[in-house]
Amino acid sequence: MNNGHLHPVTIAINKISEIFSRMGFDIVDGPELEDEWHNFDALNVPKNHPARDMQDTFWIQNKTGVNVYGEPTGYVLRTHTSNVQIRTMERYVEKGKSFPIAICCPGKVFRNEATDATHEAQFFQIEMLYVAKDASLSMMIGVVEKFFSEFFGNNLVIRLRSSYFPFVEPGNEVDMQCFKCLGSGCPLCKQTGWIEIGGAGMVHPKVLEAGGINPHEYRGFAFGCGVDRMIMLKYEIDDLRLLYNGDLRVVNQF
Amino acid sequence: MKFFKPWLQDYIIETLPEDAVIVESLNKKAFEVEEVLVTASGTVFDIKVLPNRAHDALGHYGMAYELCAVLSLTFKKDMEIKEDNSYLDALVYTPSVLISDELACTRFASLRIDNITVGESPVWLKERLEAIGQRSINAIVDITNYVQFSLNKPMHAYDAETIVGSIQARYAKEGETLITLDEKVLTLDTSTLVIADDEKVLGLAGIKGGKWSGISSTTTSVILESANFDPVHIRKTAEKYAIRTDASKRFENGIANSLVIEGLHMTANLIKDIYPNVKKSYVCDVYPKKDVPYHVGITVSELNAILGTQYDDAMIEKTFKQLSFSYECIVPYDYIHTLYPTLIGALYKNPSSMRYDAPASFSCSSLISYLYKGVWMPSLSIDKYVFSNKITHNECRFGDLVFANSGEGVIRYESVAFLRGTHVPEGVDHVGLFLENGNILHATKLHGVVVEETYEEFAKGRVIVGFGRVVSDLSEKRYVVTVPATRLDIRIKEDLAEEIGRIVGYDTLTPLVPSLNRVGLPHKRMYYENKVRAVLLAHNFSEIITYSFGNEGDVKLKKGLAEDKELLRSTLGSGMKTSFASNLYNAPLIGEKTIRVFQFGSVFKGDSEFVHFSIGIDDGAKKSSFVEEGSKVMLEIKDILAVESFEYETVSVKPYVVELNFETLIAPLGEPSQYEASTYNTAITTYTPISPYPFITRDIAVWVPSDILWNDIATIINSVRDVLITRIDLFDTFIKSFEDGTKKTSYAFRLVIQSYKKTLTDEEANSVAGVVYNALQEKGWEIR
Repeated sequence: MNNGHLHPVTIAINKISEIFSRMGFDIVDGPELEDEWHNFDALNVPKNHPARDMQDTFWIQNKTGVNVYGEPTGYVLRTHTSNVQIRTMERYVEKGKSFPIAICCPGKVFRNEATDATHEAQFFQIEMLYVAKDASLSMMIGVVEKFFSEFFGNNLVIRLRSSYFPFVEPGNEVDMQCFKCLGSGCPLCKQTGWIEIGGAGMVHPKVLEAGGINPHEYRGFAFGCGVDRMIMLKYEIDDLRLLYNGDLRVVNQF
Repeated sequence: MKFFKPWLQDYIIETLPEDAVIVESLNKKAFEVEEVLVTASGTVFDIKVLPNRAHDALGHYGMAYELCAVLSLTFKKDMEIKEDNSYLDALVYTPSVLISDELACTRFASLRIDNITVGESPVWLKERLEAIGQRSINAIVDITNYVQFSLNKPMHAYDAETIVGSIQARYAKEGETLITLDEKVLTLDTSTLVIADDEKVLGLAGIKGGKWSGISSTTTSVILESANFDPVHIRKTAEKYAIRTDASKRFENGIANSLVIEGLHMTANLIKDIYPNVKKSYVCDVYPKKDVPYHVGITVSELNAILGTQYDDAMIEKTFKQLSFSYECIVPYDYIHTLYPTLIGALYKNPSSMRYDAPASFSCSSLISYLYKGVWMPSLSIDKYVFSNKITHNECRFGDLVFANSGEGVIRYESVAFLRGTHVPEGVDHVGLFLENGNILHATKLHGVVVEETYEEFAKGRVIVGFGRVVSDLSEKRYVVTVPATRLDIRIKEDLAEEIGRIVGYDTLTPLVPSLNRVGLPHKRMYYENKVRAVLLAHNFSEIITYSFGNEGDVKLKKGLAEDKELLRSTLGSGMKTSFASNLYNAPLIGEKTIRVFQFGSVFKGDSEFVHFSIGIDDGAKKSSFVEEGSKVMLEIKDILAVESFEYETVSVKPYVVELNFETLIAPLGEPSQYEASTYNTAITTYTPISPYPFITRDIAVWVPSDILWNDIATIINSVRDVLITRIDLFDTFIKSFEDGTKKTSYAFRLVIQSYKKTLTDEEANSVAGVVYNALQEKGWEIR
């Protein structure tokens, strides 16, 4: 008899992991307290570049380390799970593991920004990364459509909008067909039939290089989105801040 | 940035389509349109231009080009900026410009305009600036602003009378100060680039002007400044003095040097338009290192591999035309064949840059890059070696590369700018190119020029390190784009793939799924976490996730959300505490007498990060103890994990809270070999929001005949239930035999009453409970 309850984030992460696992993706993890190199530099977000402003960052005081080249690097609370892209590539190269790389990483991330009902300073993301000789943007679409279709339980299509994330080129915002009205328009999708859900693109050659992979030989695609946002949409949760107070009025509904 | 539709229309031949079409096309293919404001004079679009396009699209001119690309429109060629010398007067004194550091200030152009009377701007200019949220100041300042928001080129105008001697971009001297236009006094340090004349500092270069040289109503002559600065320098300086302006934002993103002269001419021409009698000086243009256009190439097969498409030549050519990209088609085999004989004898110079020095002089490496026009490759020989696909000597054919350690130059043993740090133990300092007859073409210090030699001659005195191929099919045609000067974002073939993909439309891509033919592996920690979760679920525990920051811990944030949220937790304790405080209070609302929670979460200690695990039990009663129950649960966890060593810390006995390092605990366990799906399923489809208002409880106990069940009572209550009754929880049942031989059952239950709209009064709660009370009494049942 199960009378206990799992946190909705765990329920979602379990389901996401299961879907990606079935598609052949390994589930991996990475540190929340991350060096600046893995969180920014290696992801083609150089120091003193305006791209750094795209994510409000929690910086760690009085903590420095060195990157793979022995250069000093500061520390941050990771602003995205994309740090795991680099850590995974490093592991594959170091251990001589065979390609393709196909991973999914759920994890907690942090943004130093004012909180409201839909923005928290800590939340969960998932990262999907595929690196192989045959990677293409069309393949990214295929994987992500399959993922959302299985998660929301309907055959959903996605659409890409042109955007910019320094670690991908081409870079895209991903919209998902509304799982509620299937595109005909409803309050959830503000009558547009589409829901903004994540970011994606082809892994920037510089990012592959930073992970020790020759972009002349391999290509990659990556996708990331907020787990909180997914459950917020799925269960129509009105205030994300209630998820992290240990409040059983919320958890015990699940 | 805000864009005004009539302003955009200036640059486009066809009439712009309706707003919705513009918004949809931009959203899909280029930028997010954040707001559309329809005004009497025209629509204003607030468009989010991200850093990769801040070089070209943070102005109406560039945005008009983008609209032409996404909507298949035509840019008005006669709107391109030209120098107008009709009002040039050699007698007007030409300003002299000096640059002290050509890396920090890459170009500086200036001219002087006489015969000005500063007044209000004409209506059209005011209207346009106001439409995009800019205040009109005076005609001269407005024109410089207009140029900034048109061309994406910040401009500055000085009152010529206030300038003494030359205008300089130099570093501030010790102790120099600047009073900005808004009266702030800045004490400058010597790493700050300023604009100055012979006597004083005029402004913070690229960021903000000073007070003393501003345009006033008495100004009759202006000196225009149009310069470009190193983006990193501007960013650091703007940060240091905490001044961010429209100008600094543009410079720190980086703009093309070509805009310097265009901005100057555009500003001067607009002044001439408003004041027809002005006279201008010659231009002083200091431009130490001239930009050379970038050439970026891509083949049809490369494009289709990246996008996963079947685009053809016609599609690519049409798209480049839409983007106003000029391009040439290069077949590397033919191109290298035709070009290389003309390079024999060209000077050897090391270092030489392919972009700046060719074809006048070459290094061994720049020669290769030059011959492979439109094929991206790293500059240095060693990087080319790491970059190329390794082949054997026998496989070498025309166009392949031979790498050597010749002792001619700097011998490198590690790659520098490509796959940095890749070891090449043999060391590389030289590269040559295979010709048809097996000879090697190379630029060499030995001969001082580019030579063709036999392989044997090449190999003599050099250690041959290896052979590489950079293009697998030399006869495959490449599209080589001459990148427009302002498109600083286009440098590699992937950038071209994005341009083509977005303009053709990503909706033309057909989804594909990779065939991995395997099931992915779980993550070890998450796998064992789920085993533990299963145990806890069976014992009525609920999972919580709490904040990683608070006011306890030894890792500190530089700046947190609040002062009491600047430390990273070293235990899960505070989250458990918060959870108990609210859940014990809300227990009636949750419907649990005893609160049982657990959590997994990262904690931070010194230099390390661990996932900890904690469980807690309490019911808020003074004398209760859950040590035994908790210990039993922990023992079950030990058993399910089959760990030998199992230590945990008892954080507190009341509430019962224990915690352990989960990573240490599972360290001895094996890697899971297959994914196990969690069997937990939630029944809910829609979440019920939490009321922010307090709840009130009313307990009722009722005697009913023994054949009446709780379900029957619940049905009656539900039939009269007010919406304010959030929960009904049965908490006590017993049967009593009375003296008359009858048996009755007592049901004691709790009503939880709460509103989503307000704090209820006791009277309101009583009246809600009263309805239930009456309904039961009407049945003839006795309320205890």
